[in-house]
Amino acid sequence: MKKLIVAFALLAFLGIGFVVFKTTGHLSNMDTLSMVIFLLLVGVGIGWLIKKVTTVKKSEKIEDELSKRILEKTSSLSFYVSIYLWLVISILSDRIFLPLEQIVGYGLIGMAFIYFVIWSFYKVKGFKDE
Amino acid sequence: MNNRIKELRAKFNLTQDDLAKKVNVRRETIVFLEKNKYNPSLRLAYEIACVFSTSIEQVFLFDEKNST
Repeated sequence: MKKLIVAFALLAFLGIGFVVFKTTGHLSNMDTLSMVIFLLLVGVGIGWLIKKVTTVKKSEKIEDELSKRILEKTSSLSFYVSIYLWLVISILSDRIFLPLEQIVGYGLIGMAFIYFVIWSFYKVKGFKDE
Repeated sequence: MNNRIKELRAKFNLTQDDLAKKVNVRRETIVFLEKNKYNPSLRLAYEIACVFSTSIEQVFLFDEKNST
């Protein structure tokens, strides 16, 4: 029930944020996409914070050897993959003319996305026999 | 590597939460261990074996055929 309330609150937050941004001015498709990604990141952040607070309230450990291992593996692999992302961005930046800030912004969003995907992979699959 | 944590936990009438608190890890770690998704550190393996009053090799079963 609690999880349902948190999920509903997050969705409501994202929905309200989207409507407010959309109705307060003209937004291009790229602006809308950036805003959706920003709201999603804020939503994930709030969800993460709520989870941590719940864990502390239950007097459980926030971090242990498994969570540290997942973070280590995720960090190293996402760094490795991100190098290729920046390589692709640097090649594309010669062909697609965008302001530098925008390129850096997309790169950072890409890095965050890569980190999230790899973290989710390890959370689901684990690492057997390593 | 396989393990008998689930079986021993049932024998000792412990929940995943109880075992997690006894060995000072999160419940998720016990879930991962029971599903064979994670090989614990030697220290954690030892602590788990101590909870079940047995040895590490009685809890964790090393599969030599599939070892690399």
